[in-house]
Amino acid sequence: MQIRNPLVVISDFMGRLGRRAIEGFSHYLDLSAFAWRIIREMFRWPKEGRSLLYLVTIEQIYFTAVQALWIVIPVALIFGISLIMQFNKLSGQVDLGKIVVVILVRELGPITTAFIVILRSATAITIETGYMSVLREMEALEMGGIDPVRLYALPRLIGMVTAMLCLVFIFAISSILGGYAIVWVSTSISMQHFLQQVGKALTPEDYIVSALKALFFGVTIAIVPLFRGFSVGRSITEVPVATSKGAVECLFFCLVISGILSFLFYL
Amino acid sequence: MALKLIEIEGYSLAPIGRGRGLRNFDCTISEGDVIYIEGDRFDDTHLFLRALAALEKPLEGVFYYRGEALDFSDYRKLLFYKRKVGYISSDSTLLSNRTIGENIMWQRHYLEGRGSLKVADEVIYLCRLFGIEDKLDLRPSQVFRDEVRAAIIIRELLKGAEILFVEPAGEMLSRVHYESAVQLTKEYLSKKVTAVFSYSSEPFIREAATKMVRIVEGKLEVIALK
Repeated sequence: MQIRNPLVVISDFMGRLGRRAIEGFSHYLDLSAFAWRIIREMFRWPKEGRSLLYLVTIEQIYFTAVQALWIVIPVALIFGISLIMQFNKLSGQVDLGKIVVVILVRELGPITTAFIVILRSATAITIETGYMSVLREMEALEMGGIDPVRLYALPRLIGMVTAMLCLVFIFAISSILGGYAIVWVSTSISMQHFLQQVGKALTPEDYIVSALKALFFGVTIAIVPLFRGFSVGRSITEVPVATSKGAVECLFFCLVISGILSFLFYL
Repeated sequence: MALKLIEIEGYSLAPIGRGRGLRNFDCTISEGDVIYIEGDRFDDTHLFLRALAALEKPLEGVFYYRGEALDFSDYRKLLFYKRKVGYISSDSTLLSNRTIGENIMWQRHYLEGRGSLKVADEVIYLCRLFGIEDKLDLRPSQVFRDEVRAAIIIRELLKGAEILFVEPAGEMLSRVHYESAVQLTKEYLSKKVTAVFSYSSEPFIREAATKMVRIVEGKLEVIALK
């Protein structure tokens, strides 16, 4: 067996590390440039193609928000019921409203909604975009004189952000209702008292943080899969790889965003 | 003297597939030109057609459209040109997440700012010619390949393009649809429009041709016929 010179091994390792670092840095730069490109398109807003843009945006809201309701509402109810049940036992019915707000509205609601949307829509966007790239459908749009970023990517960004804002709100309402259901069954607290507790616990920061989280999650869940999809080359086998990487990246970014916003507002 | 629509100078293109690429060629396409291309490799003639449609970024050289150099550094700067050319080729596609009718009407609605993707009456006539008028509400994956090709031809003809780039329809269409395509092509040529055909064995195209482009071993030669 040949023994390699330790200096060569270290040099190879450092080289690999350096290449990975440059690749990673370059990926994030490309992703930021792509995000900037779509966001800038939003403010340009030329008259051309506007009606089709509305149509595609509405379709995206339908696919991401309306079609996800059957899963978001039951999940929110289950979370509401199980969490309040546990905390009801733990805290002896004291500050139940506050617990609902802290756990469900501030933290769990937005991130759980983001997870559901990543599983349903982020993967779908990467697959759709990837296949369109491989099958030269983006090229077909270009041959029609249509900018794919404007007609394909921009409506998905607007639709996704709108859908996330709506879903986070619906999740919060549904989980509070679920929480109330358990309060109604297993405690002596009246509905009025419970809602008063929730109302008192809710601060303006909660609304702002929830909305900000929904906004940033929406941007992330639209841009990362679109970028991954557009990056697919000519091979169909690149699509599942891009889908998997896109979903993991979305998940990671959403957790980081959630942590940063909670840190900034509640520290 | 006819107006020069396309002037290509010192153009070189990297190979695709099993082709050899194209090296340092010049080519001019004027208004009313009918050109047919033949060559030793399909990949090279296909590459030339893609280059004419501004779908391939050159390694070197300049592409002038109506005297204005195209800027390949940003695809958005090529969109105005792509709107003006029709591209019917083996790699032309429809959007798979839209119906056949929507695909045909997509560009028109985008440019005219209409929200509804309703199929216009003149489109129905063309669809009837190709026998796809009852399939407009189906997606490309739900119809035969042949019918997808027919929809692509209709879409590109409806663009009202200044120049049409066509790859042989014979291999892409069944006999019935092929005859419809030939009829449309004849109508198109009778209007004295500019067209570039690749590998066409149809005698009426060779008769109408004003130039021939021969591509051998990656070298391109333009031969004036009329």
